[in-house]
Amino acid sequence: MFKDRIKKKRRGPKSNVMKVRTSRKIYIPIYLMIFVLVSAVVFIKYRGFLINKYVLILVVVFIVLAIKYTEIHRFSRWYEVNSNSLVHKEGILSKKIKNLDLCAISDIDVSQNLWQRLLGYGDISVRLFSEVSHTEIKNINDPAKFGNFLEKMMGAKMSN
Amino acid sequence: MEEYFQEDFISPYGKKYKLKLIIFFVFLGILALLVYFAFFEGVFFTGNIIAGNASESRIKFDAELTTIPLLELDGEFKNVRIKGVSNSFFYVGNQKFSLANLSSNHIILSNYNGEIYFNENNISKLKGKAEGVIINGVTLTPNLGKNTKVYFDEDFDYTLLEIKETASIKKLSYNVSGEISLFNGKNFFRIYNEEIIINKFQGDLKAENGNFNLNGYLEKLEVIGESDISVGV
Repeated sequence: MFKDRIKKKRRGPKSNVMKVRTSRKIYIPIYLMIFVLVSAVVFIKYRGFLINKYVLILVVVFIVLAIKYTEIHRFSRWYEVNSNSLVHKEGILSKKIKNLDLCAISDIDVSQNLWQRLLGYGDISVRLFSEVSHTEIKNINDPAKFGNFLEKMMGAKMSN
Repeated sequence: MEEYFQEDFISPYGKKYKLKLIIFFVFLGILALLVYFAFFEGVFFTGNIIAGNASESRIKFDAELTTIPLLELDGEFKNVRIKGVSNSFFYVGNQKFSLANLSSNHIILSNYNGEIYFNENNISKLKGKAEGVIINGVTLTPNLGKNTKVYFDEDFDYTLLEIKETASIKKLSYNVSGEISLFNGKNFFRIYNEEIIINKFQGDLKAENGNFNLNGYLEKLEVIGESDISVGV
């Protein structure tokens, strides 16, 4: 019975909406910087050397700002595919929302460079019939899955 | 040819390159400051020498403590005086002196540069170079060049170890009893088996018959226990 419950939960109700944010993997260099600074502070403390209090304050400020920057950057923009459109929202206090009708999309390109392939994230380029521009959805986890879902929803809308 | 251009609205990443560079340089700057202040600001890489004027913005500190801690000093010391007995030999340059024959040996090193590791019973390591050496009243300096290598080959049981003027302790923390005087005797207190934490001490050090005396300047003193004292500059 417990297994059944898990299976149901995993399968979930078939959703017609997929929402993605920028992958945290693009912030790995910043996380590495934070890790190096924290390790340096721990090492200096462990070896019994003194840490200048102003430098320690700088380290704390850098770490706080770096985490804030990455989190704000990540939470300020997200992409959603629903049964009607591809939606891009941006901003926390002031918001910009752009809706692209699924019927207006002509092509979808998924691209991943070597680094992105290794870490499992990438970009999607969405082209429209009516415009010579394209829309980029950058640095999302599992872009192929998002692209497939987008195509599936486009197909479903067109068949209706 | 069809021309595509990227919309700023959806992909605001192009202008981020400069910001990434700035963040990286800020990171490098902070790391450099961290390393500089920890290892190089008035301190040689070994971490035991405090350069500059000791009395400058430091706290005058005198202590008579009842326990000698385990200490590892490394640096330049103007005057080191050692008394004690040992079955070991004392090496000065290419000469070898037996310390076993006398009931007490008296060694004076001037301008000694090297390591002194000791606990309450013995000097476990003394290895370095000295400009002047006097052993049991005999001055060896005229026969020696500058910076002659000196060392014990075994532990030396000492009754007195005195380092004048330039004993430097980066950090010392241990449980102890004794008397402490700060600011030239303006503050005086006794501690009983409490943890004392000394940061950046510079001055005279004397370990004699189980007692440990410090007389100099320090940057920060903490006593954790009943007294609960914290003084710093």
